[in-house]
Amino acid sequence: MSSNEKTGALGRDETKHISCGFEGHESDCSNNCEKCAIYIKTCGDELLVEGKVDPAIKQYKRALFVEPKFAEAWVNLGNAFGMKSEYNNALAAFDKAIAIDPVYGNAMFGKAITLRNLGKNEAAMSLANAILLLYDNANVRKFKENLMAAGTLDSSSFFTLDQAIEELTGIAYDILHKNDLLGPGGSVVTERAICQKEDFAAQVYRFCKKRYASSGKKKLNSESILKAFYGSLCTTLFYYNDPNSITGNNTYNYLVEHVDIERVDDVVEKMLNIRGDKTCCDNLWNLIYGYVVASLEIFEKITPDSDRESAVIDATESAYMMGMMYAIRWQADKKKEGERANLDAALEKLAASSADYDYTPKERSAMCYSISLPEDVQIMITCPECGNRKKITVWEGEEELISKYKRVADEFTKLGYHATVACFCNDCANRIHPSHSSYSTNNIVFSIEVEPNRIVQSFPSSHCFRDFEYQVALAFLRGADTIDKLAKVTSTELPAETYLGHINNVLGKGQRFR
Amino acid sequence: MEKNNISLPPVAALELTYKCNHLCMFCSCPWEDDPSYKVPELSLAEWRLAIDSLLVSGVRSFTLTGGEPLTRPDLREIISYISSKNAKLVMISNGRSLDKDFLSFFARHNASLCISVPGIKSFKDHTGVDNIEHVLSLFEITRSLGINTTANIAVTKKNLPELYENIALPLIHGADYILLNRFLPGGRGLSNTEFLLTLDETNQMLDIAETVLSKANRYGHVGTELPLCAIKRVGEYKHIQVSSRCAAAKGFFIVDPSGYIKVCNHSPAKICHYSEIETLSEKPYWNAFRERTYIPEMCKNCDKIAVCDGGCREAAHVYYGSISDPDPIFDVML
Repeated sequence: MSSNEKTGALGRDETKHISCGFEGHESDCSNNCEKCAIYIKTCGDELLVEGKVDPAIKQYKRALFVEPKFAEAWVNLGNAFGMKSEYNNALAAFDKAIAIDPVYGNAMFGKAITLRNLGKNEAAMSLANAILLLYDNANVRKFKENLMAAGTLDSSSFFTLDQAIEELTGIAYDILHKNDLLGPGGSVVTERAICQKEDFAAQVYRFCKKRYASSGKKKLNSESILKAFYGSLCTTLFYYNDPNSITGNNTYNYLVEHVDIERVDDVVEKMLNIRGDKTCCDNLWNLIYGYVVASLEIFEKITPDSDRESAVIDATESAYMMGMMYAIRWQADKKKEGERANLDAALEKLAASSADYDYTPKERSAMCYSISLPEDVQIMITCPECGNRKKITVWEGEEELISKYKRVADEFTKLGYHATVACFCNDCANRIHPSHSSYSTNNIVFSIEVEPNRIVQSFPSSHCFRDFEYQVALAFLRGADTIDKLAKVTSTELPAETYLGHINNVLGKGQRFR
Repeated sequence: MEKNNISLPPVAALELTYKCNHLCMFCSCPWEDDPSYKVPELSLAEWRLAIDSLLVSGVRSFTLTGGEPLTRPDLREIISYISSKNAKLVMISNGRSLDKDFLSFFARHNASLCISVPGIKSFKDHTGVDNIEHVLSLFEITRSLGINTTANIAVTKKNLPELYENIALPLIHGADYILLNRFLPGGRGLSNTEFLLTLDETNQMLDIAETVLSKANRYGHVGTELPLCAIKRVGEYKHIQVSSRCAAAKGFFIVDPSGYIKVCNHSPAKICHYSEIETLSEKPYWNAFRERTYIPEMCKNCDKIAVCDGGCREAAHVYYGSISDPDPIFDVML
C-alpha cells in the first residue's frame, strides 16, 4: 500500500494480472500478434482514444477471448460500454475484473461510477468507501464528495433504519440469487400455508434475547438470524413430511415442541440427509453466515441506537424467508429427482425394447436439418449408340423415369413427330453432350424426328422426371405459338427467351414465335 | 438440351412461406427482424418450376420448412409433386396444425418429419403457445404410422435446466432421433440474446444429451457446428454427433419463400433468384461458403483449421457483421 499512498494511485494485486511473457527478452517473441491478448487490447485502447468505441469493444472482446483473465481488458471494456451509456454491460465487465482481482482499484472505481450512472448512489457510495479503505485516491475522494453533494448519505458513517433495512434486504436478495433460491423471474416464493414471517421472527428473537442477552449484542443478533434460518428451514421440512400436522398451527410453537432449538441446525442437516457431508454442511452454514457477518456490520452503523433492535428483527425475518426458500428449492429438487427416476425407468425400457437398434450416425458436416438422400443403384444397359454392354449408375427409380419420358415421347409421335427415348452409356452420353454436373451423367437421350431424316437429340434430367421443356414444345406444336398462349397453357409467366429456349432445345434451333 | 452448369448441394431446404402460427423467441428467420425482407411468396406453379430446376442441378433431397409449412393451403400438392419426382422429402413443423389426417397423407409419401419441441414446461415461454401435450402426442401418432420422426430442440438458457426431460419425453413418446440446435442470434432471436448459451452451458448441453441418448439407446446430432476449441470432451460423445464443419452451400442450401437462394437458414443474404441459378457460381458470397474462405482471423493459425470452421459463420455475420467474425459463443459478455 505504501507506493499507492505516495502516488495516490488505484492499486491492484500484481499476482493476479497478465503480463508479457517476453518482457526483458523481446527478441524471443514470435510476433504472432493475432494470438497476443496484450497486443489486441492495445489496439482496442488506440481505437478508444480515437473515439471509435464499437471497434474498440470488438478488440477488447477478442483480447478476452484469447485471455479471459485479462482484468485490464475487462476494465477497458467496461469503460467503453460506459462511453456508450450501456451501463449494465459496463457493470458486468467491471464485475468480471473484480472477480479476477478483488482489490483492483480501477475496476472498483469504474464500477462505482457505473453504479452512480445507473442511479444507484447508495451502492456507489458504499463502494467508494470500500476503495478509500484500500487506497487514498483523490479522484475517489472527489467522487464521494460529489455523491454527498447530490444528497447521498455517507454509508461509511451511519445508516438510518430505512437505509439499513434496504441494505439488509438487498444483501439477502443477493445471497438468494447467488444460490439459485429465487423463484421464476427472480421472485420471492413461500409456502403460504405455513408462512408466519413476523410472528416466527419475533418469537425467535425473544428466545435468543432470554438465552443470549448476557453474552453480548453480537451473539444475540447473530444467533437470532441463525436460528430463524435453520428454524424456518426445519419447519418447512416438517411441513413437507406431514402437511396436515403443521398446517394451522403456530409454526414456532410447533417447532419448539418437536425440536431442541439449540440444536436445530443438527436436526436440519439430518433431515436434509447431509449430516457427515462436511462440504454440504459448510455450504449451508456459509450461506447464512455470510448474511450474519454483513448484518452485524450494518447494525453497528445504525443511528439512533434505539433503531437497532428493529433492524435485527427485520434481518431475522429475512433469515426466516431464506430458510423457507432453501427448503422449497430442496423439495423441488427432490421432486425433480423423483420425476427423473421415472423418466430413467422409461428410457431404460425404451432401450431394452430396442436392444438390436443399430444406428451408426454418418460422419457429416453440421446442418440444421435431417438429411435423407436417395440411394445410387447400378444397372446394366446395352448402349444404342456404341452397342456395348455397360454398367451405369443411376438413382433409384430411374427405370420408372425412363417409362415416364417414353409416355411424353408418345405424345410427340401422336402429333406426327416420331420420338424415342434411350439410355446411353456414360462415354457416349458425355461425348454427345458433355456433363457439367459433378453429380452424375445425364444418360437419358430423347430423340425427335422433326423433319424427315432430321433428328434432334436432347438430354432430359436423369435425376428426376422433368418434362416442362417438353410440355412447352408440345404446346407450341399444338398451336400455342405466342407468349400469351404458352403462358396460359403452362400456367406460368416466363420471359419469351425462356419459352423459346425450351422449344429450341427440344425441337432444334430456328423455331420462331408467331 | 442445355444442362445446368451449376452443381448444387444435394439437399435443398425450401422455406415455403413467411407465415407462422408460433412466436418462437429464438426464431432465426431473417424476415422476423427485417420486414423489408419479405417480397411476394412463390405460387404453387412457381414452386414446381423451382423444384424441377433444383433437381436438374443436383438436388436429391428436399426439406420443407418456413415459417410453418402447414400454413400453406397447397402444401399437400407440393409434397405430392416432390414425391412424384423420386426425391427424398423431410418436413420441419412446429406441430400445431398437424393431425392424424395430415400425418396419414404424409406417411403415404414415405417422408420424414422433424417436430420442434423447444422446452417442456418452458414450451409456452419459447413459442407463445401452450401446446406441449399436443406436440408430444404427435410422436405417438407418427410412430403408429411408421413415419421417421425427429424431435428438433432449440436449446436456450431458459430450457437448458429441463433439457434432460426435453430430450427424454419426445423419445419416450415415439421420436426416433434428436436434433439439437443451440440458440443462435438472428431474426426474432436478436431481441433475446440474453438467452444465448455460454461456452459452459453449451458443453452442459452436450453432456446432458449424451447421457439421455445413451440411456435410451438412441442417437442425435447437433445442428449447428461448434468450434472444436469450444468442445471440452472432443471425441467422447458416442450418441450425440457434434460437427465442427459448416455444411451451408456444401451439403445443403436454402430457397426462401420468394424463391431466393441463400447459403443457410440463418442467412439474411439473398444470393440470387432460383430462375438465375446458373449465375450462382459467380457469386462471391456463395463461393466464400463453397471454398471456405470465411475462416475468422483468430482461427487462421489453428492446426485444426482443416476440420473446423470456427463455429457458425452466419451467426457471426448476423451478430457481429461479417461471416469472418468469431462465433457468438465466444462473446465474453454472455
